[in-house]
Amino acid sequence: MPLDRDHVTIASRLMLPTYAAFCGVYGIVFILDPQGRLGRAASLEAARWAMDLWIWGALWLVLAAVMLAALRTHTRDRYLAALYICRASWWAWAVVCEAAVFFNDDVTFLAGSLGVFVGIACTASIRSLRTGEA
Amino acid sequence: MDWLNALQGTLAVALVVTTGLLGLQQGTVRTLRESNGDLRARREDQDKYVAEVEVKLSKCEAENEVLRTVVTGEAHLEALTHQLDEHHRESMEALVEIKDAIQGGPHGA
Repeated sequence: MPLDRDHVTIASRLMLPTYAAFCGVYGIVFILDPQGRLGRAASLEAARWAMDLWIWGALWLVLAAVMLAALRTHTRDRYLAALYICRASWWAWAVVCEAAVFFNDDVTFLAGSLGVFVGIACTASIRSLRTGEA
Repeated sequence: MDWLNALQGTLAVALVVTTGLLGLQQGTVRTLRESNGDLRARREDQDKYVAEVEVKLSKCEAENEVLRTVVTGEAHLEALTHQLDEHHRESMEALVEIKDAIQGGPHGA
């Protein structure tokens, strides 16, 4: 089933390009790190320990590129593969951000919540694409 | 960036990508299992339908046999009737000839 507006839910028509845009923006910001703010963020301490922030950014940028290519070529399987990896990356992000709570008292307990939310959103979209709802 | 950092980064990315692909594999297997279950249920429904059709077919064949016998019987009856009519006609002609012969020629001459 092709990946186009006629073969996805109304929610997916909004969310599928949003994942690509979201990952793309995060990727660019993490690679460029304007004004070095990310490098100084306390909540990203564990994330920086896991791997350099620019690598996180590169991963998200590549995923964004794959998603955009899949949307252009209407390839459902390719988009699904990117979405699965995107989900794994954001859950990993949630874990490393939440881990920072134990290393730094200035880090909020909600540090990992963004990653959890994005992971759940990815799961919902994965199920929608898998079922091929139209 | 030193090599240890590069290795750590590479391993972390590989771990994330592998986890994602494992999720993809699991999703594919689940979808295939569901499709398999659906196809199995559909095949069972079709088997039931075929069994019902076979029962109906047997009934139709039995009725057809009965009807064929009836039709054949009627044809046989018709043939007999026709034969009787023929014999009756021939008998009547023979009777007329005999009557004429007794009475000494045609019209009782």
